[in-house]
This record gives sequence, structure tokens and C-alpha cells, in this order.
Amino acid sequence: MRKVLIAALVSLSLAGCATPQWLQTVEKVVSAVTLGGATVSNPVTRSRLNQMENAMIVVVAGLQTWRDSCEQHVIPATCFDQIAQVQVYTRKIPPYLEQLRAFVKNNNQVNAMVVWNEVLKIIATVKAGAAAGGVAISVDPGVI
Amino acid sequence: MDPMTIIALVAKGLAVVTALAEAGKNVVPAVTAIKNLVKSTENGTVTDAEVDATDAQLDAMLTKFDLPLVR
Repeated sequence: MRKVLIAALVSLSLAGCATPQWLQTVEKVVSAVTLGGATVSNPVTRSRLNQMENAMIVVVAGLQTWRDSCEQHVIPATCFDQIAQVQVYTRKIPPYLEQLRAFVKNNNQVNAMVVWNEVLKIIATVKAGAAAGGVAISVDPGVI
Repeated sequence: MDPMTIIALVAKGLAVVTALAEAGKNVVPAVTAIKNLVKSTENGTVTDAEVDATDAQLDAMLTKFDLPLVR
């Protein structure tokens, strides 16, 4: 049986030539995270969830750097609106995480898969929302 | 996630860490996360303590990022 994973590659790039080189590097790779789509043959196990959460930590570390640079006025002021738009969706993630952890803990795979795939949808929505705000975020579903 | 996926992710994570370090930013959360990724892949399982630590770290970071912006 072919193992199907959805590769969600999220890359951020900011407009504006005033962005420092180091931040551009962060923006390019910070949100590159591969998230496996949950299926019956590819369930959300405790170990898998932990790996995904660690991947998200790397992503959020980069997002925080973007935010810090914005608040310190290191990058163009348009970043405030861009980040605010991204926050609309990142704020939806914690309740889902809470549900997901509970479902995985109880091995409720049916609901765990539903919630995890919902998180993938949020990431796609982040892409659309950020793009509307001038931040290019590409979420490329793929098959591994 | 399969090991090759983890390796690719670690490589991307290290690029982030390098850039953060060059900028003098805090790299501890990202480095710890990468270390945990490798460790869990090696072991094939995680302990309750590791899960709790990861959950707490991610929750704290999301909470911080989601705070209202200070203009």
C-alpha cells in the first residue's frame, strides 16, 4: 500500500528591501515543515504527534523572530498588518492541539485524524490570508 | 514521520538555527526541538516526560506569538 503523506511546505517571504539578510534566510526556511496527512494507514500516534509538535516549535521560533524584528522596527511597518493577519489563524491552533492531544492519548483515531487534517486546513488558510496581506506563503501539498 | 522526512526537516531547522545564531537571537527552543526530533526518531517512541515538555514548549511559544502586537 502506498504511503501517502501531505507535504505542507510553508515558506514566508517579506516584501521590502530593508529586510536584513539573516532575516531573509529565516523567512525562506523558517516555516518549511512537512506535515503528514492523517489516514487510516497513517494514523496519528503519540510519537508522530510529538514529532509534528517539535516541527511546529521550529516554525514558531521563526515566526517569533519575524514578530520581534517587526516590533523593533527592523523591517518595513507593513509587517504589523501581515503578522496580525497570520495571528488570526495561529490563534485557532491551540484549541485544536488540545483536542488532538486528548484524542491521541485515548487512541481515538477517528477524531484525531479529523482534527489533525483540520490543522492542515488552517495552514492553507494562513497561506491565503497572508498572501492577501502581502506575505507570500506557499503551501505545497505533495506525495512522498 | 519516516526518517528521510525527519532528516529533511532537521536540515531546514538547522538553517533556521544558523540564521538565528548569526543574528544573536535565542536558538535554544529550535535546537531543543531538533534534538527531540532526532531522538524520537532514533528511539521510535517518546516518554510521557518528553511529550509533556514538548507540549509545554509549543503552547508557550504559540501563546507568546499570538499576543497583541506592540506598535
